Amino acid sequence: MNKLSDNLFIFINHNECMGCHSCELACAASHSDYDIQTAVLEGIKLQPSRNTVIKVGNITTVTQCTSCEDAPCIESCPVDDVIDRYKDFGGVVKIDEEKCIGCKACAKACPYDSINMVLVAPDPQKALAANGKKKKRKKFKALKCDLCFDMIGDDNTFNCACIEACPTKAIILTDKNNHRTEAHKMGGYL
Amino acid sequence: MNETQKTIDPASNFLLPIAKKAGVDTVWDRYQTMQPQCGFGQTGLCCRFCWKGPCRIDPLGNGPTHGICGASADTMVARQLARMLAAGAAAHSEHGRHIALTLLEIGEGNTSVYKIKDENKLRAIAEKLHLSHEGKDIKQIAKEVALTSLEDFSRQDNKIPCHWAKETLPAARVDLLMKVGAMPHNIDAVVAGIMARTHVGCDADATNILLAGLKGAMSDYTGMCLSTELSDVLFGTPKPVVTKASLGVLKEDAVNIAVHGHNPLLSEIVCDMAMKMNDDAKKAGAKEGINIVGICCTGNEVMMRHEVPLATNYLSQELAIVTGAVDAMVVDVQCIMPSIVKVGECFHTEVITTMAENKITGATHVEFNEHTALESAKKIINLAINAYSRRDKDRINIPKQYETAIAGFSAEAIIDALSKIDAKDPLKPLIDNIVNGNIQGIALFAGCNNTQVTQDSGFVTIAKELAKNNVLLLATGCGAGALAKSGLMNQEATNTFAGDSLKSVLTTIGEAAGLNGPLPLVLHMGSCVDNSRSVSLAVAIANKLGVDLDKLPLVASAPEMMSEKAVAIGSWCVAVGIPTHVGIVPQITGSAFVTDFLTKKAKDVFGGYFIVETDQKKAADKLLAVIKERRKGLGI
Repeated sequence: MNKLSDNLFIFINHNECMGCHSCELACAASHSDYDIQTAVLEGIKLQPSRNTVIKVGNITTVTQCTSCEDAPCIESCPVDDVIDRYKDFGGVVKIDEEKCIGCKACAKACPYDSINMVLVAPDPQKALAANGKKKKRKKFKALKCDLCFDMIGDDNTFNCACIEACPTKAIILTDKNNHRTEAHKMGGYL
Repeated sequence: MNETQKTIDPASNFLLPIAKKAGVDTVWDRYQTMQPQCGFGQTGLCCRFCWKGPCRIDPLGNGPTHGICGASADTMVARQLARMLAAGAAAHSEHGRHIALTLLEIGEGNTSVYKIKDENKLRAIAEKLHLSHEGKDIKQIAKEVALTSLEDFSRQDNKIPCHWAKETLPAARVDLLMKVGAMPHNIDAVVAGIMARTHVGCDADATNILLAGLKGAMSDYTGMCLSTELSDVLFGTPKPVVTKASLGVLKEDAVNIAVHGHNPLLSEIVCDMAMKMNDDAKKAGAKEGINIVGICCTGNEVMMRHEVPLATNYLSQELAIVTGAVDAMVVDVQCIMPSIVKVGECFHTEVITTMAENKITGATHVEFNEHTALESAKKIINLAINAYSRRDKDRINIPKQYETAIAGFSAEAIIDALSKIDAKDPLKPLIDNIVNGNIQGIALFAGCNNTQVTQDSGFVTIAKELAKNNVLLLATGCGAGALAKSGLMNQEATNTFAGDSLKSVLTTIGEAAGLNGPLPLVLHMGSCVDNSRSVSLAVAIANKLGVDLDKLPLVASAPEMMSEKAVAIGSWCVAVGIPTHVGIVPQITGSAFVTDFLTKKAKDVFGGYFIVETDQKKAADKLLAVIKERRKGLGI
């Protein structure tokens, strides 16, 4: 797949998007420990929250993070090392989902609504240990496109699940600014 | 998200905010949740006929060009369309079989519940089917007609056409359909044949599959034709009745029972039983007794035969329950949203399923058959009366408005009205007015509602446009429901919207028929299974003129279609020679070949073809252009 370069992001050629949601499903599965069939069979609720198929007039396309140059989400995060740009890996802006405290600051800072706050299911073990003494609090975490960071190959190639899943090859990895502008236009932000 | 207007029905617009406030999800909410819908399904390019799939062909040329088995886009699209046609044919024909079997039960003296209401019609049918009836007992005729009709479900010689297709179409049309292999010999066999040839690894030639599909559509015609005609024998041939339409017909002080679905076998008995049990409802506190209202095509059936008001059509069936005033919704088959059970749970409404093969989880099931019909009807009405006592008065929101609607224009009723002008030659006044241009042509509105179109808007916009241009309008099914609710099926509508020459013809016929005014702007010909009524009128005209149907200035329009039955109706309209407008984009565009066949090549073969146009004004213009072209062809 695509070799590394600077500040890469996912771009959808909306003229070729069929709105089939395959990319959403592939994204959700690739960020979980399951494939789609197993998740369905075992009743695991995958969260398709890093990309969203949208309809603009009669056109369908997908919106997700474009790893913007100034990335206000990085500045907004109150915890060190949770959101960072990985220069060695295409300049992707990535959230460390394990360390995320769910404060929602990044989601508010993102001008393109590309960060989704998702409710984390309570850990049954911890709930049991607390024995009902601790007040229950809803915990969130921030999710966004990370170019399938965990799947970057040993030879430093990207293996983005959505690109592989797209039946019309409408999804590409790009570093072109005009693609970013077009994506934001389709999302209704420009 | 781009949210278009949901409906033009004032009652629906009144109830939608109430549904929202009550937290009731409607069909429109689910439509929004479903957006965006998958483009492969929309173009007919997702095949799930075998478990190597799903296979998706990329219509944009970057991805796969063939399914895993090697099926091309043309094959894939044609196969799926053919299966839809088979399903539509199955639905209408199953309804027809049910009616024919009931007629057989009467003929054999096995039922006292159902009787022959229209002996003249039975004799006329016997004649049409070439059965001698002189001097025969009426039950014997019923038996022979039923058995002959049932031959259309059992004949094994595929060279002999179905009686009900052969005897109801012009001879030239029968010959053409035989020649191209689109004339059915046995409804069941044709449906099974389509399923077999579209199995993996069978028919892969799109033209061959499409012709098989059209044969399926003609089976749909056959099934609906026998269904309609035999229903008239059992329950009476409709005559014009003045009634009302819209959810405003629900009554606060009555036990409101909505009959919903398609088959009159159920609703007729419920109507009869309701009259008998009216006092029981009054005793339970309902001052006005029992108020039966209709939804969808059951609504059309009882509207025509019992003056029962039509509450609403397909898309707003859930909103009937949201009024808080429907005590029971009694359903049989087809177009019943499973969601009504959930909506019913939010209110006091008893949702009652009645057919062994059409149950909904959570609904109360009261099984209905020819033998236990009376007891079942009694049980249903008691359930409704009980539910009435559970009504929450604070949650009743019945819309105020309703429209007067004249329904019940069977082909016989239209010819009867015309005979008041010319008793010897009833069709002459109609034909004369078509020839002299007072009536430019005839348009049939059929089909459903679809969330892709603002409810009822397609029917109303196109009907007004055609009426202005002096086109005689007929309607069935949810199209009829839309036009009735919108006030286009009464005499005022004729005075307001008809072009001058159309108005004068409708007034002459209406006055002669004793209506003290014109015929309504749109003639209500019945439920969707009654589309064959409009064909019999058209065939009468064609036979009189000595031409085939593809020469007549006759068009059909299904601006809001969605069901497989509607796909089948539209397709047989094309096969019998009627240019047919579709107001949504059908799931065939993934194959240029299939699209081209249905919208262009079909014209060369059948004279009929599909016109796809989502812009309602443009659709009206296109239909008018077809009518002009046909008139030119006839030299009038």
